[in-house]
Amino acid sequence: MSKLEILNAIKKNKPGLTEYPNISTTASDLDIVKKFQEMVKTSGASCIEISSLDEIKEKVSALTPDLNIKTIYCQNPDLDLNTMDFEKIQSPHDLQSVDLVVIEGGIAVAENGAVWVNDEDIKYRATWFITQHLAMIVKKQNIVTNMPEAYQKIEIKQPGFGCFISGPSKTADIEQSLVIGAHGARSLTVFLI
Amino acid sequence: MNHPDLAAKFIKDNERTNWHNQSLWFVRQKRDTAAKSVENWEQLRDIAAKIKAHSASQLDTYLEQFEKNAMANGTKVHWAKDALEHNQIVLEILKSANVTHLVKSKSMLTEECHMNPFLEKEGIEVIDTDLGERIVQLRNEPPSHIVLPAIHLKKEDVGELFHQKLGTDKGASDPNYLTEAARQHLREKFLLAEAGLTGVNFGIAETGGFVVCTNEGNADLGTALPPIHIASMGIEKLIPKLQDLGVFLRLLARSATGQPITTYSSHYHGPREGKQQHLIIVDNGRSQLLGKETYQKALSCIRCGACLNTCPVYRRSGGHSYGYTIPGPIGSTLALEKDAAEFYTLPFACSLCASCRDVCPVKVDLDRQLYERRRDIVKEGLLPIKKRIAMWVMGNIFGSPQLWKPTGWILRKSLSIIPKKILYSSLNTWGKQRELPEPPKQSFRQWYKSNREMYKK
Repeated sequence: MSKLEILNAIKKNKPGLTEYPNISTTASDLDIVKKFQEMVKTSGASCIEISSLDEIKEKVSALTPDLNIKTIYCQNPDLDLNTMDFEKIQSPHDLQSVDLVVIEGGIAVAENGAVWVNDEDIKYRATWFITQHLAMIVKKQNIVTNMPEAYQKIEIKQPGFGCFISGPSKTADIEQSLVIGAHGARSLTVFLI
Repeated sequence: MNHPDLAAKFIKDNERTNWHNQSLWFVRQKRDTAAKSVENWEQLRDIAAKIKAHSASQLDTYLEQFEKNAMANGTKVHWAKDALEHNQIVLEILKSANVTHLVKSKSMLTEECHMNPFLEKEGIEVIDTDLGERIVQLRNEPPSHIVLPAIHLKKEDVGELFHQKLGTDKGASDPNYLTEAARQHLREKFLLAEAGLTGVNFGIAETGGFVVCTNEGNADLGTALPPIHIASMGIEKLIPKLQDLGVFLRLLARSATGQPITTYSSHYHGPREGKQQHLIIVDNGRSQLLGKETYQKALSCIRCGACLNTCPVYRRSGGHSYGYTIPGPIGSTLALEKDAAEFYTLPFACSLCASCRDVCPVKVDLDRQLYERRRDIVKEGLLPIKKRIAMWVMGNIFGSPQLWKPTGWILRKSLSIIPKKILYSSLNTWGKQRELPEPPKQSFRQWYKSNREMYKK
C-alpha cells in the first residue's frame, strides 16, 4: 500500500518534465596505457608489466616472502599457482584463510586505475574482498580512457555482481591518516599484459 | 537544539577547533586538485545536475521501471513510506530468517531512520563496519560527518576507546595499529553475521541494479559472506541509465575525498545463487520535498560531503553542533524540512559565502536555500521573541532615513567613546573574538554631500 501512496505523492508533487541531457564529453588523446599504470600506482597498488602469462608464477613467488603468502587461490589452472582444494570450498567463509587471490580483470580505466571484475566465472563474490592480498591480470587492449567509455563496454549480467576495484582496501578514518588494508585486500598487484 | 550553544561547546577547545578546521580544509584542497585533473569538470557538474533534475521530473516512472527490473533479477523490492515502516520491514526480514547478527555498511538513511536502536531493542546485534562508523558507534554518538564519521576525534581518543573496548595496548595511538585491531575485530563480525545491510549510492532504473561505493571493502564483505543482503535506498537515489554512472562516479569520490574513484564501486544486480537480496525504497518525507520548488534540488544530493568540507562554519563548529543526522549546509536545509521549529537556528549559522554551491558536484543551490529557509522561519513566526523584536526594530531603522540618520551618528560616536572594557564585555556578542571596526569620521551621506558639491564647483 505504501507503494501506491509514495507513487501518488510523487505524481502529485514532481516538477515539470525536464529533458535528459546529452552526456557525452570530449577527452583529449593521451597514452592510456601509461596513464593507467600511473593511476594504478596512485591508488596504492603496484603495476608489473609482463609479456606472457608464463611470467606470473615467477613474479608471484617473488612477492610471497614479503607478503607472507602461504595459500593462493587461482582459478586458472594454467598458471599453476593454486594451493587450495576447490572441493573443500563449500561456502565463501571457507575462503577466509586465503592469502592471495590471482584473478583476471576485465575493462580497465586509465583515468582512475580501476579494473572491472564480475562474478560470471567466479563462484563466490567474496573472492576479491576476503583475501589478504589480491593480484589482477589486466590486458592492455582492455584499457579505456575514462568511466563513460568503460560503461559502454562492460556487460551487466542479470542476476550478477560486478565491481570496479581501484587499489588495495584503505581507510583514513583515524585522523585522516591513510592506512592501507582496512577490511579488504592489504595489497593489490596489477599484472599488465 | 540550538546551533550557537552547541558550537560554543565545540570551540571552547581552541587548538582542537583549529585542527578540525585544517583537517577539513586539507580534504577540500584535495578535492580541488582532483577536480582540476578532469577535463570538462564544470560540464560534468552541469550534466550531473541535469540528469538528477530529469530523474526527479519522472521519478514515479523510473521507480516503477526500477522495481520491475530489480524483481526480474531476483531482488525482493519493498516500499516504506516512513522511517518506522522501513525499520519494521528490516526487522521482519531478519526475524523470518532468525538473524541475530547484522553487519551494516555506511548508510546515512538508516541513521535518519534510527534503525540501530530499533533493532537492538528487538535483540539484534547491529555492527557498523565502516571504521569511522564503528568508532562512533562504540562511543555511543552519531557520525559528525557523512563521509568521515569520526573526523572530530584525535587518534589518541580512538586509542583510548579501542583500549577500553577492543583491548588494544594502553596509550597506543598509531593509526596503522588501531586499524589492524579494528580489521581483526570486524573480520570476526563479518564471518559471524547472518545478514548484511548497506545503503545505496545509485539505483539504476534501466537495469534494476544498484551501486555501493566504499574504500574499505566493508560493504563487499558484508554482502558477500552472509546469505541475506538488505539495501536501503531513498527514492532520490534513482538515475535513469547505466551510462549515467559514467558521470556520477567521476564526480563522487573526487568531490568527497579527492580520490579519482573509491576503491570499490560495487554493482549489485540480483542475489547470489540461492541467497536473498532485498531492496527497500524509502520515502520518509522526500516526496513532499519534491513538491517544493525552492528546496527540491536538495534531492539531487549525492552525499559526497564536499559542502561540509568547504563550509567555514562547519569546519569550526563540528558536525555535532548541527544536531541532525546530516550536518553542514546540505544538512541544514534537510533538517528544516524535517522540523523547522526544532532546527530553526541552522540556516542562521550560514555565512552565505556560497562556497558550498561552488563545490557541489550536482549544483545544489545551498546558499540560496538557506537564505530562503530564513525567510520561511520568520514568516512562520518561529524566531524567538528577542530576535523578532530586534529584527522589527532594525527593520524600522533601516527602512526610515529619519531614524537612520541619528542612529548612525549615535553608533559612530558611541564606538569611539565607550570604554573598551564595556565594548568587549559579554553584553556585546559582536565583540566576541573579533575587533570592532574603527568608526568612520563621517557618514556616507555627509561624504557624498561634500564630494558632490566639490564636483559641482
